[in-house]
Amino acid sequence: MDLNNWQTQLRKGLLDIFILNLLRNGQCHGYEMVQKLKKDNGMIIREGNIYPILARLQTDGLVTSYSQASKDGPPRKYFELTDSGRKALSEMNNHWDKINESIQNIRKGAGE
Amino acid sequence: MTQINKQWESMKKDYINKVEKALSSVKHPRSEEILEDVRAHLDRRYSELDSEHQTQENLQTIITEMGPASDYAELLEPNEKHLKSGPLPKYLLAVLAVILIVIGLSFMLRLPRHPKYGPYLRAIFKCNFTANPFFSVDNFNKIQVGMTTEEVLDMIGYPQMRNQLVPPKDATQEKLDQYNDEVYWDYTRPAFDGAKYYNDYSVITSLSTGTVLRTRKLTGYSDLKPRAEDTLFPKKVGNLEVQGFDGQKHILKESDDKISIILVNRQHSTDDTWINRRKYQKEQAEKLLAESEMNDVDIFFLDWNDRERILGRIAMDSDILIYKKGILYSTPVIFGSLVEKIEQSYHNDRIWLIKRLTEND
Repeated sequence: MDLNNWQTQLRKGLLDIFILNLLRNGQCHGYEMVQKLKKDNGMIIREGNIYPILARLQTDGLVTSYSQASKDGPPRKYFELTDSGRKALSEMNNHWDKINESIQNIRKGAGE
Repeated sequence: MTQINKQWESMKKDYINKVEKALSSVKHPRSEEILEDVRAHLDRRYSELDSEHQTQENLQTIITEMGPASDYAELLEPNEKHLKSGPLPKYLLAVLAVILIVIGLSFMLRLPRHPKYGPYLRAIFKCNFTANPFFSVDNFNKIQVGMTTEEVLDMIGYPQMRNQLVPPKDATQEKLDQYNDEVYWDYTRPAFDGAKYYNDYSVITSLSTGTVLRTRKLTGYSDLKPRAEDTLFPKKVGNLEVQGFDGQKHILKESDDKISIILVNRQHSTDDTWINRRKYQKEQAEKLLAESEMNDVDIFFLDWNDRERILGRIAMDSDILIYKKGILYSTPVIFGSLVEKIEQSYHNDRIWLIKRLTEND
């Protein structure tokens, strides 16, 4: 089994839920999200990956964006959850909890 | 701009171009927006490097940490739409197939009637010409030198037109005699209006001996005007209203097997000149019936205007038509200097046609 490939695919698959959770507590700009994912969560992320996902989430109506002036450079683009986004995130988190629980149960059952 | 700055701009441009190319495979409405976000992100990363860290190695690290350009399309459209080389969805293949079929049918239906290219395509199927309904290329190829004109008629029917070539001014007497003796029986015409190219089949006969001198097959452009509309015959007209000798209207019925001869009045029958013409035509028709040994045939008139209304623009002098079962037949025109010389030939065409139509019963 190609573990690297598995990790890459898992990471890509989880990026949506990571990003939505980052936005749960309020607005955030892309660069900031990347830094949080890299530092706070130890998530190995390719920095550019965040932008196509944000674009897709916007198209799906889960996230919205707006520009805001910045003190130290050009205006920054901020993202925040929409109501649909919050609802979807709630369902995604529930689902993720179930998956995580299942994995934990299996691991316990195996005497780990 | 410093050297390292230029280098960075170049690396940034190169990376963004790659992302743009990758995103072009999905044609997402937010592609431009993503490029702007990536550009801003790269600018931000670069601005955070102080001058001593602005090295080639660090610049490359920024680019590497952005990830491969191909990831963008995959993350934007996870449902494989970005895979250009992947198999096409079935519905798209079906749409393509329908489009190709429509285009193919258009070509098949329209191209054969294209004035320039249609005749070449039709030539493959030997159908870029019109001829009398009894003509066939196979039978034409069986025509031999020395055959009589009657034998030619039996094999390939009557020609579209008979011609004599104009001799050159300095022709010797021998040449003049040759030109005066040779009659070109032209069997074919372009298949439709506007097409000049067609397969031209002719039989050259001798006036003096009434036999075949040679045959001629030409292909290529011709200056002859297309006469597709002349060759409407045989034309289905259904029931036909005509005028009898008693001056009364008659309806020739499609359901009737009887053969009728229709004389075409070329002008209003009240005109004295054309009354004489009508008399002449009637004599011709009666002669025709006598020689074809047909008794049970009626002769009617059709006014010129009616003829044009019913038949459209057709051969200018087909003044004797033959009607049977809702179909009008006509043998070719008589005109020009050949009238006196070969009128008998046209007369023979008509007799032959009447007999052939009777045989078909």
